[in-house]
Amino acid sequence: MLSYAFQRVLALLPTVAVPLILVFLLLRLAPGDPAAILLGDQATPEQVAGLRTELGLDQPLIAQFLKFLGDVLTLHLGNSLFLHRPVVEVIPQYAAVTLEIGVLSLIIALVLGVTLGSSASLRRNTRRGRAATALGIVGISVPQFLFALVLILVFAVGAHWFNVGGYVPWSAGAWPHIRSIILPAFALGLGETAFVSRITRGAVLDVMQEPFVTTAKSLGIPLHRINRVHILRLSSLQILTVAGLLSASLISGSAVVESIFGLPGMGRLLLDAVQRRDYQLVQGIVLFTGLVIIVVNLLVDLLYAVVDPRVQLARKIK
Amino acid sequence: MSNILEVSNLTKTFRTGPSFRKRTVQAVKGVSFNIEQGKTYGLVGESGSGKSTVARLVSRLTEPTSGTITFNGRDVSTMTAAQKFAYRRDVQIIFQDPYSALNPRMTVEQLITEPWVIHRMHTPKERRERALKLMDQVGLPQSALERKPVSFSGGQRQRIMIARALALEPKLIVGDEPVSALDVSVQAQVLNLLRDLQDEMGLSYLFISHDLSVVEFLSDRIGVMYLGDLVEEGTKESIYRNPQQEYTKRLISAIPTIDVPANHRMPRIAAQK
Amino acid sequence: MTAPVNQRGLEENVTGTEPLLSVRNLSVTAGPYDAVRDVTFQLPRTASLALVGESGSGKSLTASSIAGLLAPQLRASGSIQFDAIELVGQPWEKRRQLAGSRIGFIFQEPMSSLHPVLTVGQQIGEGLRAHFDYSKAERQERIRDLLSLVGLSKGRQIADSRIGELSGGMRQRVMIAMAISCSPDLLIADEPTTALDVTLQKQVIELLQSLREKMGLSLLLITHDLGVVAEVCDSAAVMYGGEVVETANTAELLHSPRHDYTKALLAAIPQLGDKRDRLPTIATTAPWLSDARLVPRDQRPQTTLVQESDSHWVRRDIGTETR
Repeated sequence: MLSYAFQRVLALLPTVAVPLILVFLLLRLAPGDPAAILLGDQATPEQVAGLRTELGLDQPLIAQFLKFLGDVLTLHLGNSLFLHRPVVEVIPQYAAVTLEIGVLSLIIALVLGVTLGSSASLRRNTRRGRAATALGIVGISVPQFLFALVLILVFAVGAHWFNVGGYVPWSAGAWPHIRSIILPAFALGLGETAFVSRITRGAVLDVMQEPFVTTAKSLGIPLHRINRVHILRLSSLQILTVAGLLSASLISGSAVVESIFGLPGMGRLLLDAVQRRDYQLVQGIVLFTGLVIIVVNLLVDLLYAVVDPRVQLARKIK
Repeated sequence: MSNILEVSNLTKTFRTGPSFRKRTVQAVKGVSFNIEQGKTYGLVGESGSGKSTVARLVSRLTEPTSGTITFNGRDVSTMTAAQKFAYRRDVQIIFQDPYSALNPRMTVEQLITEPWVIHRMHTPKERRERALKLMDQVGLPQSALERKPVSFSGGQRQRIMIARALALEPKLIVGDEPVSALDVSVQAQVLNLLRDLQDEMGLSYLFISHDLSVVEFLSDRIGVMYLGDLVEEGTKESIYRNPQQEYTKRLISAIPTIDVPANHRMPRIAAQK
Repeated sequence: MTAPVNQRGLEENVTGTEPLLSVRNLSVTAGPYDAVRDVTFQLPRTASLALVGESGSGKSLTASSIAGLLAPQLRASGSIQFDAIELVGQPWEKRRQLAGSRIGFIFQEPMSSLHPVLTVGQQIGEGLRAHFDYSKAERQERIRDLLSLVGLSKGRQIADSRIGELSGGMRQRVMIAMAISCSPDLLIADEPTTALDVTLQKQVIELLQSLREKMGLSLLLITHDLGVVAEVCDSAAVMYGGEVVETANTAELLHSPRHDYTKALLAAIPQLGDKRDRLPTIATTAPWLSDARLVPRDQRPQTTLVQESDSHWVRRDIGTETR
């Protein structure tokens, strides 16, 4: 297991290089002078020239890249032009919100999705199973914002259990904080539930056909146990893959849901930063998101090996 | 009678394992035998004995690590690509699994005429006629030409494989477990067919199997392989009646024979890995 | 006299003179087609019977229906009496109580019939858990005992491995260990030696025989290999086209076969020291074996099993063939 983990981490390094190089080139490949772009339309030629020297834009590309690497590693990512604060301060603040809601919605999606998907496949010839399959199809077809709006309508406006929007930080009280994130988490989570349930259904159907399921039956093992221990264990590989994919999209944040609920998350931040040409911030967000996704994929790879030890290098018994 | 094939000290070594931890496996260790023209040489052994590797070496699907192979007096141990291409017209191979050895998307006619297309032989009209003749030879109806492999049973597919192997009029056919996947009754038919073809066309066979009874039926000489070595060799009578080596004796005694009364206990073979 | 009731609440036949397994007129159908029909044979206690046939003969389906493992699209009808309990028509919940604890099944291909990720110990443990209430320590001890019973000495190491790490012969032994783990009375083995080398085949056959002696098992062996039948089984039922065409004691079947198919099957096998130049082939009414079963049942020739001597039954046509 250790050597497998080591190999995966090694494989990480070239992958990390890619967003770094892309981000580096991003600014320099954009039409126009990078320094002028950074300072915006109002800058004087002297200011531009000054920034150019400061950023080392007249140096050879390799030197610039090394400087860039150095900056990234020491977390000198510049300041946000519009928020007038260091990028490394801004991002964690907004990321915390997104990540919290993201993780919660992932849990919701996995729990509900796997349950629904298992029912759809294991009980596919019963009413319950068919209903589960149908729900899955409906869920995939409904867009996120519709979930969000319906939830708000029913639970916030109608039942008054939750606020219509707005984010309450943890510091203002545990319960109010939780109340403010439940609806957005469900808005995100329900959409993904359908996706997870479809994948689970497919994965379980595949495994159900395998001969070793018949062997388990021949031993008199009850069906519910076969389903849980023998089948789901193997299906979880595919589910794990999906979870990895979902994490990636959840980390980037959903600008839609965050806008509807008025949450200060990464999605909205990125949207605003791009609209306002806040290059330093955009650069920081891209780097951050890229890195987190790579780490998540590494975790998924390692979890594969835990769930299905065949993934590692095989050993033979003599 | 001259030898159509002479194999001398044939060796094949494989390297396996992950890139930083390679191990060498000697699949075939210094094997030597001859096949007389028009006769059948049977190679028998269990899995891991290297017999399939020998089949692939003789038909040049892989290259020998060392040793010589002489075909009809010519040394074919090392060949250029062009020479190998020509070699295929002399030596053909048929495989064990009739279900995966035939391209499911091609019709039987396409499968059988493909060798001529590749070697640029015969006009399309000639190809059609020759294909019909081949079908006759292997005992398949002419209507089979338009059908795809999926509509045939295992035994029929094996016949298609044989027809295809015969297309280039080879002198030597290598059969790598050609009847092992077939039912007893179908096996009998295919064995009869192979025998008839040999009588009609003077073909030579290198017949490989783990089933000693089947090998013995078709072969004139037999070689026994164990873990890469050719441990014993001889005419089929001498192998069966007078086995010299320990392994050969074990192999023979392990075969359950039908004449043995039901409660007779066979000598126990110790587990070997 | 009331029959005693065992721990699973099922009645047990104590007199011991009835055959353990009695199959009568068993049919397995899919719509208008009979995959298996009119299968009749008996298996006495501690005896062994072979179901012999080539592919498409219906022998595997027969075995599956005895074990209750038929695919849902197939229907079984007729009678399967196991220890005086009628199995046909029973819901899975009832059959499940017998599965493993009274009827064990060895599957043909251990590589795909064993779970790829659970360890050997976990898999055997699952079987034990289904019928017994052992503590963890007891279970582990039982698993080690089972493994050594089937000739696997490094019990600890093997119990912790997965089947991908074992050789073919070891996998088959694990399969056998699982099948006997709950001490069944009847062991059904579906082509247990087909995927193995000759020397391994011998070992597996010997293992099955020694287990039979030690545990008093009855063995139903599914095979196409008449040599194995000669070696292992007291009696045999030859199947062709989904029907039993002949059944008799092994010696009698092999030395004086009565049905044309049996005779042809025996003649078609090359034997060591065979002097024949060509092997006789089987002339069949249908060109390929499976085709017979693709004929709707009302169009198949009417036949029945006729008792031609003490325990020798042969399938013969009934008078005129109905079309």
